[in-house]
Amino acid sequence: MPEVGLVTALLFSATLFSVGLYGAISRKAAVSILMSLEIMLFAITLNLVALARFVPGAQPHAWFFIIFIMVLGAAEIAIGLSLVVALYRRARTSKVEDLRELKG
Amino acid sequence: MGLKGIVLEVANIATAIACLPGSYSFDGMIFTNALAPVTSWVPQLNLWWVALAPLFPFFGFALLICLPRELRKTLRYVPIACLTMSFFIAVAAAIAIWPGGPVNEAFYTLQWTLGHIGAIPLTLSLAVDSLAVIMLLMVSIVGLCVQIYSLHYMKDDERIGWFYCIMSLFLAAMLGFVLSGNILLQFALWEIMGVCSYFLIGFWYRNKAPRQASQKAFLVTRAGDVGFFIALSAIFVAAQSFELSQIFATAASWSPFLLAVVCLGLIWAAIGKSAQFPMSIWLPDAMAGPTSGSALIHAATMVVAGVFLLLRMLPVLTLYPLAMNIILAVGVITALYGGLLACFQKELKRVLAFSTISQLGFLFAALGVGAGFVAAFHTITHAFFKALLFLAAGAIIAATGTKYMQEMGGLAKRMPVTFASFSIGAFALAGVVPLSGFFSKDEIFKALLHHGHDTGNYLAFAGIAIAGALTAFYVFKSWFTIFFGKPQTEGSANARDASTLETVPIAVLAVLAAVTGLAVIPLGVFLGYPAGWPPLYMVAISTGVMVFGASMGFLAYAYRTQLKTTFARPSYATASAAIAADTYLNALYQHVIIRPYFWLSYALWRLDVQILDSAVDGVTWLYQQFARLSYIFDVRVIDGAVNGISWIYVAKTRAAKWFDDHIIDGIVNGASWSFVLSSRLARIFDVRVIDGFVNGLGQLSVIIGGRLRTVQSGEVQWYQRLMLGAGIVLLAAFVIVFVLRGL
Repeated sequence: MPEVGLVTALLFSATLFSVGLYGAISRKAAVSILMSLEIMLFAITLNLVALARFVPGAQPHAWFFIIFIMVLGAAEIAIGLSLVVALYRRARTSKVEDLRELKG
Repeated sequence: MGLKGIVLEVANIATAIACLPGSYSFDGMIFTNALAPVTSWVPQLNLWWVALAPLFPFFGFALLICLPRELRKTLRYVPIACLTMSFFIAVAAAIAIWPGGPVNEAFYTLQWTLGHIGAIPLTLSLAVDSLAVIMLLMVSIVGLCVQIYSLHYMKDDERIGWFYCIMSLFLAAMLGFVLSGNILLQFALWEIMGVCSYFLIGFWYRNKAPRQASQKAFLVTRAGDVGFFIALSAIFVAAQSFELSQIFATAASWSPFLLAVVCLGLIWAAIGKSAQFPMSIWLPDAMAGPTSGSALIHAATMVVAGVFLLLRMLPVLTLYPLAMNIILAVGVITALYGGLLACFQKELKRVLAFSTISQLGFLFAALGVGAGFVAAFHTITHAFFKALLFLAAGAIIAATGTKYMQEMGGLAKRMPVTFASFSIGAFALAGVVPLSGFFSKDEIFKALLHHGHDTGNYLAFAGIAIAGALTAFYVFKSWFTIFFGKPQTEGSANARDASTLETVPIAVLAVLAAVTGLAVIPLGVFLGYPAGWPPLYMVAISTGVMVFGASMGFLAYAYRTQLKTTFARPSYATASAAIAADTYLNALYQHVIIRPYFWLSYALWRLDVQILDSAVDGVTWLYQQFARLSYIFDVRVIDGAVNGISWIYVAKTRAAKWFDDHIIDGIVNGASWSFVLSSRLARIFDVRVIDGFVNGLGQLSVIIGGRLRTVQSGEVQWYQRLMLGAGIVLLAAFVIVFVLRGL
């Protein structure tokens, strides 16, 4: 079993981020987009975890940011989901392509 | 002396607080005990706070007059609260100076120097003596009853706030008047009371009768004020001071002439203010005002002021026997005249008005024989029962909707509380044992009988005794007419007692009217007069007089009822004839004063027309002739010259016009033609070149905007893609920059 190094971890993290980005751009349902955003957030968290593990001297800052991102993510998903529910109640849909009242 | 000690202690503490910041004397104010303490155990009394008694109602007035009508109406309780304070101050003062002392011996004098006339200081002062304190109590009690009564009585009037405002000033002036130890201050407050009565009588100024009555009252009392002013001037000449203490101290050494002027002037003033014969004509008409205002004028303030003035000045008046005889004569005549006219009045309020005139005659008679305590006593009892009668009459008139007694009847069952109170007041007025009026009237009878005994002339006593019988007569006649028999109108049949707000003050006054007489001995002690219970023979005389009058009154009532007459029937012809007596007095004024005045005016007018006007006409004629001559000169000479000058001017103008038309216009036209040409060229340039450029810019921005518009699709994911693209481009830019740097 090959040893998991910094590069492997960063590549995995980048893959995960790309998956999340693709999902955020391509999915139609608002809930799916939120899930994709969540994937992107945790990709970054993973990135930081890897840095904390492999880069000497990065630890306190990386941990700090990890906790920060987790809190942020929790808050974001709470607000985002409530926004989606509110939108659904108002427009009877959760498809983002139907929500285009703000177009120029 | 527990209560007294507490009051004095509180007063001393209050004084200490008031004087904390500096010395004991304020700016120009001196606090003195004018006379040594009357009884040895009286400590150095400091009664400065008695001065607050008139100041509180004055504050109420000053506050209310600044406010708009609605707010004034809301704050109508303020004057009541202020007067309550005055009442408490009066009570405290009575306790503090208990057990009183002789009238005009001040326990405390508060003096304020305004300035100097030559070397003579001009001062104002308040003097607290037993008489002033008694009057303070009486005025504040009656005033409070009237004000509380008015809360309900006047509640529908939108100007009730103004009513309270004026009442407050009225009471402040009266409280100050009785407290005043200075005749100048008395005069000022006397005038304020005159103005206030004018406002109260003319309260409903939109109607003609109140307006005329208020003017009449004001003018007649003003005529009396002239006497006051003359007396005031003479006093200053004689005593070199306006201070009462100074006046009393020097009066014995005045010259007889000045003494006569002072006394006659004061009597003149009092006759006007107290509505004595022959200046009584204003009081019956003053009934046009609100009833509660009448109660105030009749019982507590206006007419009492005249009597009080004479009462205060009694030490001076007694020095001049003629003055005393005039007062006595006026009093007896007025008592008879008022009583007689009261018998034949049809309106309830007018009966009471003439009754007031008559009772004030009693007071004058008592003063005329020098019986100061008796006059003060009867003033107080009269204030209570007359205020009570007026307030009850107001309630009755409001309940029945009529002011004529013949239209009432049978109210005893329908208005029991009012009936009981009115009965007490009426019996007190008639002098029924043991109500207050009995004692005070008894004292008057006694004083006059003694006077008759001393002089051997019983005329005054006889007159007053007849007036007493007349009083009982009209009181009982009215009483039966109002309260017994059958109701004469529907309004009387449906009459009910008024609200508690009205009946409570009436009942309070009824209690006072009933029991004040029993306090004759303590009252005598307080005023420093050895009063006692009336002797049996006096009781017999006055009761006999009263019973005679009362039975005649009942007979008159019964006679009227039996014959079922109304006041329109001829059987009242005699009554009409008697009523005419009042009219005669008015007619007398018409003939003696008003007619000669008009005649004098007419004579002056004739003088004006015949002499002055003809002089003026002559001057005018001369002026016309001069004007005609100058007109001719104008037309012939000046116009000719002017015409010649203008012809020359016209010719010159014509030449100028030709030059203008042909030469200057040519130049101007040529210049403008070239200007038009250059303007056209400029316009072509403007339209083609400048507008084209501007329009081109506009179209360009429209095209660009249209293109860019599609970017803003409103789709979230479109924006995400744009962000991604932009992020990639930025990243690429960073990479390129780093690579270039690295290289």
